Amino acid sequence: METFLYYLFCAMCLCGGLGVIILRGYVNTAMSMLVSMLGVAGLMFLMQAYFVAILMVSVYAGAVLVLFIFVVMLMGDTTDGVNIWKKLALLALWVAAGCLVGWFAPEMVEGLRSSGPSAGTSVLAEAKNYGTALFTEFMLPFQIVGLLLLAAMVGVIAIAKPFTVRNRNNDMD
Amino acid sequence: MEGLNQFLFPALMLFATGLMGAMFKRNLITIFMSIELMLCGAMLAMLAFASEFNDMAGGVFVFFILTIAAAEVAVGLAIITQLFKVENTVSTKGMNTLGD
Amino acid sequence: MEWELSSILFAPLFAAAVIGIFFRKSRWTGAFLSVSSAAFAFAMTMWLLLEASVPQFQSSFELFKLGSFQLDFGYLFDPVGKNMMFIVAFIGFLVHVFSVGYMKDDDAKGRYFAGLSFFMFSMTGLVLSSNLFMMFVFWELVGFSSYALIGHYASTEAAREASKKAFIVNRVGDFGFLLGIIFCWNALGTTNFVEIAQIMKADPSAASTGMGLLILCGFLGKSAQFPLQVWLADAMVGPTPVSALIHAATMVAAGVFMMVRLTSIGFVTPEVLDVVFVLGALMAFCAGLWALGQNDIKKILAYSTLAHLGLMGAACSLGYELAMFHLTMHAFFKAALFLVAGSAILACHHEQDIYKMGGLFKKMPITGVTALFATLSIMAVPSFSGYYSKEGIMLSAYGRALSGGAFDAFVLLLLLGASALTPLYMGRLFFNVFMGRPHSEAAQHARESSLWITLPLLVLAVYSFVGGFSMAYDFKWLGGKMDFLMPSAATQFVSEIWDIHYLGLRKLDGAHAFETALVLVTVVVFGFAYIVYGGSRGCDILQKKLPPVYGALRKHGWFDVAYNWYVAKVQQRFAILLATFVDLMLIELLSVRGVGVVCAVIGQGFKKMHDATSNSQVKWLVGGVVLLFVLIYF
Repeated sequence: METFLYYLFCAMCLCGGLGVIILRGYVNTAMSMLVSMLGVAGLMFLMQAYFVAILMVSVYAGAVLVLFIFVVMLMGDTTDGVNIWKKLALLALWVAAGCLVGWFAPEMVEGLRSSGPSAGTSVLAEAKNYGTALFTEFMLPFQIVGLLLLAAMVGVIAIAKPFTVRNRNNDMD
Repeated sequence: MEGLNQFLFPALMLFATGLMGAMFKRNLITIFMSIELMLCGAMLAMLAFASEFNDMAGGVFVFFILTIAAAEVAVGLAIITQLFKVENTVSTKGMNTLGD
Repeated sequence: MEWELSSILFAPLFAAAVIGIFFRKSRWTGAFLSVSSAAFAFAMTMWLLLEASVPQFQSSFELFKLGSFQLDFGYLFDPVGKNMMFIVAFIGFLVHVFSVGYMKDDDAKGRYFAGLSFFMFSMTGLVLSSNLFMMFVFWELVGFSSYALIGHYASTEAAREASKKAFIVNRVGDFGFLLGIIFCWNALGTTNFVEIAQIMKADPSAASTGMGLLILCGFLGKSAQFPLQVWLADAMVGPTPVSALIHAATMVAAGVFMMVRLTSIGFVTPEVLDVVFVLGALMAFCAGLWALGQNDIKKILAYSTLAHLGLMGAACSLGYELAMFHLTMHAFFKAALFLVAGSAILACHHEQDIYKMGGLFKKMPITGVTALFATLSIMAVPSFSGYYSKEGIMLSAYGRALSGGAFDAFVLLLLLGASALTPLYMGRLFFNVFMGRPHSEAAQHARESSLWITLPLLVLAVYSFVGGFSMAYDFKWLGGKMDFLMPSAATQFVSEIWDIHYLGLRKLDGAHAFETALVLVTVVVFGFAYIVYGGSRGCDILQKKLPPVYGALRKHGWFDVAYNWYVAKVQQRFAILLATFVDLMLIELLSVRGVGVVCAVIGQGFKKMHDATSNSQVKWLVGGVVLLFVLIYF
């Protein structure tokens, strides 16, 4: 079971990565990146670092990618519209995915039931450990990263101010 | 594959893919996404070692990488937005005014 | 002793410096200073020679030390040096006095007397120096003084050219000289004369021919022998007192002095002496011939000097005291002749052609008598001073030819020819200048010159007469009270060996007959000169009757032509080649600017790599990381 999941997630993240650099069109690349992130998260699950995996999905896939999409929307997608062949291909993919899931469903359910997630044999499994470490051993980096986030926010606001000639003069002052 | 190599392999491949994208793609957004991929690869590698040696440091560091990646994306996209407003393109082809 | 020697050395220098700085434009102050410094040097020299308690004095003062090389400043006051010092101080003083009268109308008296005093300083230093390096320094200084004084009439092209030529030709010889000195220092470890003498005494084979030949180059340059004799004739454009002092009596004799000194300590090998022997005899003969092709009185005397310097060189090989003897005698009569020429030139309003003078004996009796004495002396008429030295040399050559081979016989023939030519050209000069009738306006109105000029002439005339046997036999007149005329300390070097040598020479087969034959030849040739040249024709008979022969003689061996061709065609081209090709192109363009160009190209290359697009930046980053890993792990 684990091996299968491993190969699945591996394939997801690798193919997603390849897709980022091969595909044309911003949305395509963003989706492909999403797939890749999900794969990485899955791999993290397999390593029993559940907390980080969830974080990965929510922060990375959720926040970062969404940001990417926002900016891409601002720029405008340069690819041509989705034609009938792409729609059909997409449909086919969904069907194939459904079939796969359906086939392996019994094994997956059985696997899920039998060998549940091991109750945190690794130290990474428990969220409590992260908290402990962050507030004891890694206190300084923690605070610095906090500062860094502040700086980033201020910087973003400074950069993203409306860029007009008058503004530029103001900035120069 | 044994435990460590098992997870280091995708990490390496991810990182390599991201590196190829950063080196050879002309589109700024694509380059940016490739950098994110590289960071993912790094995170995976950290975690692999952490789970192998049962050390907390790896996990906490992944935490930090995540944070920094988020901040970096925000700043970077802000810059790209402004750049797009000025240059009206996101191709790196003519963008070497920082050099000579 | 050291203080006295230093005072003799530095008094003229002090005078030269003071004149040079303060009194260059003065009328008489410069002359006064210079003459008084010369008088002081002369007086001090005489005092040292007369009260001489030590036969040899040496002192050394280390100037600087560089590893194992040490340059000393020291005095060596030995018999040879005393002999030379007497000549330098005495004739120097007389010439200073003469200059006062001769340069009366000159505008640049200050400059002249400064140069003359500086020359006295350099010459004294050369004579007194205790090692070869110091001697070389003063050698060069003497060359410089000569350059300055020849070029005294700097407004004329001839003077400038001649002074340059003198200096450069001298320099060529000095190059060989310096190489020889370095060779000596390398081989023997010292250049101090006393130390060299000790080394040579202990191990005569320490002297090497190469060393001797290189040092010979210095002699060839300074004393104007083959092939470097071209500068002496041209040096006659300088003022006549300069010609008398520098180019007759002292500077050109410095070469002989150096050879004598080195030969007396055993530094020079017989092979080198043989070379000098033949070169000197050759020069003596050829210069005598060339003197017949000159009309200028100073040029005739210059070629005569060349001939006698050759004779001295040959004498070095026959016996070094003979060379010194002839040097002293030559100094007396040649200086006398030059001063006579100066007096005549001055009286004829700077006319120097002998065929434009004439009949001066009646008008300038003192000059005429001096000229007569000096001429008789140079021709080696018995009982005049030139006779003793010449006789010694000729007898020695004869003795050598008797026991030697064809080479010695050949040299003897050359020497005989030279001694036969002397009466010929001297007679030509004497008869055309002093006898006959005047051939120019100026000569008609000539009068005897002032006392400044005639007194030195008289003194030198006397010495041309009595100098000879005073030197040879160390005549203790009136129980030694007249020793001041020619201190025995000065003559000791010659007289000591002369007695023994001469007695041996007299015992040779046919020595007496040989001597008599020589005297006869002299008389006959003098008479011949009277017949051929004495008709007071106002022009040279050889020029009239046999122009090609005269022209050939005038060209003095085509040396000047050859050198000029060499300089213009070979040397000049080589110099231009060096300047443009090597210097400009190779060094400047390729190396200096080339380095700049290469750097600029590399810079441009780096600039191109400095692509600021993010792609290239990532690439560079990756490259750097890879390099880092490689460096760490390998």
